[in-house]
Amino acid sequence: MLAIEVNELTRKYDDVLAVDQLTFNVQAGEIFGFLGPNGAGKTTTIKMLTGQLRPSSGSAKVCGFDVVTQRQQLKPAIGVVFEYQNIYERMTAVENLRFSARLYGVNGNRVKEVLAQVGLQDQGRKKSGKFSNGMKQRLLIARALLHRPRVLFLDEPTKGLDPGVALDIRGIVQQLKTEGVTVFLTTHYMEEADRLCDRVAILHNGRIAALDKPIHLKHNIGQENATLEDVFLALTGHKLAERSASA
Amino acid sequence: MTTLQSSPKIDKGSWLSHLRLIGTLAAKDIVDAVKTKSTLTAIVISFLMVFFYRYFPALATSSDTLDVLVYAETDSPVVTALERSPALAVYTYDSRQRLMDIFSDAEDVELAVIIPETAVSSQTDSPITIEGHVMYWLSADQRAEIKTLIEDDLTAQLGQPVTLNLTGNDVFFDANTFFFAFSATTALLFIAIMIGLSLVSNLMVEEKQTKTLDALLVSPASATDLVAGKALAGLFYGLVGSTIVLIVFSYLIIQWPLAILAAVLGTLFMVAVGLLLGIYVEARPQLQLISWFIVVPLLIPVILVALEGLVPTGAIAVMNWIPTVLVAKIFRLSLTPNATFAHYAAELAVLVLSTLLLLGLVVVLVRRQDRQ
Repeated sequence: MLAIEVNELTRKYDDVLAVDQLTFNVQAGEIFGFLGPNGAGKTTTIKMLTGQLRPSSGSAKVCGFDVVTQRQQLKPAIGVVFEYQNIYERMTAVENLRFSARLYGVNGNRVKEVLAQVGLQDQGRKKSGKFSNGMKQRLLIARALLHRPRVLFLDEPTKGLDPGVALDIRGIVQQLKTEGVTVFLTTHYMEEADRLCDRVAILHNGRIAALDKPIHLKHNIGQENATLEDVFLALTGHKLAERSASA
Repeated sequence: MTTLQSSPKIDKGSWLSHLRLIGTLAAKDIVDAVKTKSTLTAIVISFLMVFFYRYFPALATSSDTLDVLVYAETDSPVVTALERSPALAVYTYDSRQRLMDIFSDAEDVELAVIIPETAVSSQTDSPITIEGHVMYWLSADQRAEIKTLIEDDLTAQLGQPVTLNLTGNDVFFDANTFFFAFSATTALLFIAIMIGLSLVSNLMVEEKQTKTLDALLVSPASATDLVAGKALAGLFYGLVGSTIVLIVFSYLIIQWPLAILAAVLGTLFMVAVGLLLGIYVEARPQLQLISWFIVVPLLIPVILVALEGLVPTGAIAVMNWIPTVLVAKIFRLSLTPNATFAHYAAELAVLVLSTLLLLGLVVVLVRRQDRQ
């Protein structure tokens, strides 16, 4: 079953082509890594798939809903963790979640469940503005999971977090996979993508440079003991060329 | 290829679900507003201004003696008796018209007395009846106190019973010149402007700055729900503020439906202005700067139109159709007994139309900006 279907999805900002005719599918229950250097078009793609941005051309369906024409139906089916920590800092964790619960029409009891799911069960009454970055990130994930979305979009969820918290968040993502949630993940950490993702797409200049299971991508590069980072660098150009020159 | 069918509850966009979302968003903003220092400060300042407008003039003019404005149709011992009384400050006028012109601007507890020609020849034990006028806003207790003071004092001095007739002699002020009418109007507009520019626009800008707006826009709430929620929160605070103004100045209000209409329309108009500002402005410092440029053309004309003679007639004619000036006019009419629908129909139509136009513009802009 397909959770995400993308067909020649394109987005232009004035004359700049941010996303260029992307075509790919994501299976239900899959953890799909969406990798690329800064400015490759990752966030623009997420914004289009979550209905925040209108594509210039092409189409996409998430959970069977067209991201342009069925946006209102799409919204309860997806959860989004943004690349920035956009919580209400004057509210406590519980207040943040209760507010979201009311927006989604979710029973208030679910708040306790998601707080426990992300390990914040003892921090619910604390002002979220006083949270560490790691706690804020957990709260953002809790908010995105509150309404039991079928597809979860995670935009660089471990960026800037200490290794312990990042490990915990990876654990949460793996747990979601066992629950059948489809995860669309962007990250700059290649090791994280290698460990977590069933398949990854590497985006370069708005186009998909490669899309496959990490193991296949590493194998196809033709380099012994290649890592996903090697694949990434080879496909996106820059540093591999520098390495070759220095060798 | 099979496609995953979504099983979560699907919001089909019914009116009820939109109302629930708008209510949720408004409730969040209503609670959150009092946690924001700048908004809280604006609310507190607004209420302090209301009480300043109401009570400062009264404090400034407080006196131990009762001002009595007198017109006697002929020389009368009653006037002499009044002037002898230590509890009274007596001012005499040479015509009834002049007396009433001056008295109609009375801003404190005062009494106007007309002494008829018949009072002169009253040399018997028959009671002397004098005609007393008070402002309509005096309470029953104040009227009774004045009546007792005058009757007891004159009866003792003249040696014959004196009756002060206050019944049916209430005086209504000129709403365009009376100070308290002006201060009540200014207080009402001040609250609406502060709520619109400080609260509503700030709520929008803050969502943008903290990027919580993005989270709201991927939730079941639409951009229109979001704006309606902010409008409702602004309307809530605006109406709470307006209610306080109306209560504080309730002694002046004669036509309550008209006063409430002016308060609601004034608040709605300023909420629409605040929303429009919130849509365009991205950061709070920018908002504060622009707010000043908006306050001037909205509030200053309310003062300028009252200054006949100082401002060119053509300019006043234009300013008379500025929505805040229209709110002021309609509110002032609620302080008069004889205003009919014909007196304010044109003003009301322009005010309603401009508010609806602004709100419509807000909805169009939000829908356009929602998905660029």
